[in-house]
Amino acid sequence: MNLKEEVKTISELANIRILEDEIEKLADEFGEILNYMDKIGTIPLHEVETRKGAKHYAPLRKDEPQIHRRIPLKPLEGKLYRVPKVI
Amino acid sequence: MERLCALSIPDIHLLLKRGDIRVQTLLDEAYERIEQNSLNIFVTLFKEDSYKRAKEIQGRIKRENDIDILTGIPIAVKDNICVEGHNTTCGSKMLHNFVSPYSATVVKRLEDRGAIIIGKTNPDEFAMGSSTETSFYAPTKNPHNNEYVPGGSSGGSAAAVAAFEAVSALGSDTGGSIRQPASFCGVFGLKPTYGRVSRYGLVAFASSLDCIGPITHNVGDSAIVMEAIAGFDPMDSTSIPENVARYYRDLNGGAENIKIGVVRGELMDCIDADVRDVMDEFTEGIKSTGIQLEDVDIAGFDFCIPVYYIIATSEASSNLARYDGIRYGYKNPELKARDTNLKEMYEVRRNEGFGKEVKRRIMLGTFSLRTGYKDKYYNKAIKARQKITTYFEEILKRVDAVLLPTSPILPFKIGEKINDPISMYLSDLCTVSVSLAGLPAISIPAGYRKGLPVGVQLVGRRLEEETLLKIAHFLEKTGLTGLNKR
Repeated sequence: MNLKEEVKTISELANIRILEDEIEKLADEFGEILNYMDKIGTIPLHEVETRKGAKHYAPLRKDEPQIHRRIPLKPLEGKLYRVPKVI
Repeated sequence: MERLCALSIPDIHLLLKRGDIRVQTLLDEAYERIEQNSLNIFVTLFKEDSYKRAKEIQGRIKRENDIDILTGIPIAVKDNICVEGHNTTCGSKMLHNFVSPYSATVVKRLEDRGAIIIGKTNPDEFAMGSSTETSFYAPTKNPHNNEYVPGGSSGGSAAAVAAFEAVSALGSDTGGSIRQPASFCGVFGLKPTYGRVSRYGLVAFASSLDCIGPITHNVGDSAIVMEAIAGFDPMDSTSIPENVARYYRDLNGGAENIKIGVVRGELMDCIDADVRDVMDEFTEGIKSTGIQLEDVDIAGFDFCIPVYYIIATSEASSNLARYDGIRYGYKNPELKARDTNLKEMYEVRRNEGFGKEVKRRIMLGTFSLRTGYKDKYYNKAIKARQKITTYFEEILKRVDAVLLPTSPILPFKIGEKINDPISMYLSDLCTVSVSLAGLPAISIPAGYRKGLPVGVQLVGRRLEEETLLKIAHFLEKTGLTGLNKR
């Protein structure tokens, strides 16, 4: 694994701009952390079955649109809200 | 100056009820001390709102005979928990100007009971850290020695209680963030069972691990605050729909017949000699009370840290993807929309708005979820988590609670570990496994070494906070808890 290339790709995926002069240091740090995280490969896990999600309770509410009453937006016309200009 | 904030909630309640003190006096004292101490414990103070509320509450105390025990009690809240109309910064530049549009369920429940939220305490940025040094608003200092960290990420909350700037505080615990700072500051910190306390209004870090809980001077106060905040909340989809016990009323009795498992073996070899010494002394003390003890070995403790960091950072990378500076959050004033494209705008804002540790964790999480690596890291970590949970469940069939140190080391100096992420991650050795298993645990102040507090933690069965509080209360009554400064 080329760590410098990896850091560049990940920063792109994570939408975080990393400046050119930070890449080397970050790659070194990342390498060290991954080395440590690789310990996970040594755990014997053949017999473990994965439980998916919360063990005891994971309800779903009715699939109906809800208006979040607590957010203080003023209704504009009918079901529309006015929001600040972002772009 | 008096030390009203050092009294227990029931004692303050009595004074208020008898008219010996006024709610405003409590606030005066808390705010005065905050100013004098200058330990950088609070990010925001709610002075104006607090006094307004105090006036109204004082009137209610005068009029009504039967007032709630939490009436007029000043409580501090970690700055990743929303209080309507006030800033929630999460210790980050990213949320510098963010105003909460609603209050967290825990805040609402405390306020409904008459408590007064006096301000928001300093956390590690987005609760990512073990020292409160990663906050954009500068590190908080440990009240026991100002050169040392208060622990983290709820360092501000633990320090607020330890420095008598609040009677009690709320913290959040993802991998130890209530227990470790409680240990470093010499106070009690309770991490509830995952799902016992609503996460609604808590800014998400790792959603499958995040818990809110109380930090207090004594066990009774933990029981009172916990009782107020616990219980089902339809606004949190992982909230557990089960009744909450009467923790405070039922604190007494039942602890004598309990069996505690004391962690020995491999893990204890990784513990600092001073901490081990306190743990041994505490264990001897328990033995003399007649509580039964049994040695337990928690195998494979060393792999808990990679498992925790893979899961927590993976969830964080997804949770923190929302911070793009579009609807709210940090916007670079020089970057004009017309000069750039959307992706570039995200990248610049996220680079400038997040601190080093947060970016490191987002990237680590992005990496472990990446195509080609997911099986090697994330999926493996999920399985290992299951293994840890089952292991704890088996032990807790034999014993009612497990005793182990809260932190493997004594509080460290500000700046000592901040440039060494792995050594910082290792300081979570004793707490992350409990978080992965979703179990409740309480950190108890147990001793004092080199002028610094040392805590131990008791881990209980799922939803059995009551047992933990009972044992802790029993040990407190027999004089085993506390710092015994020397």
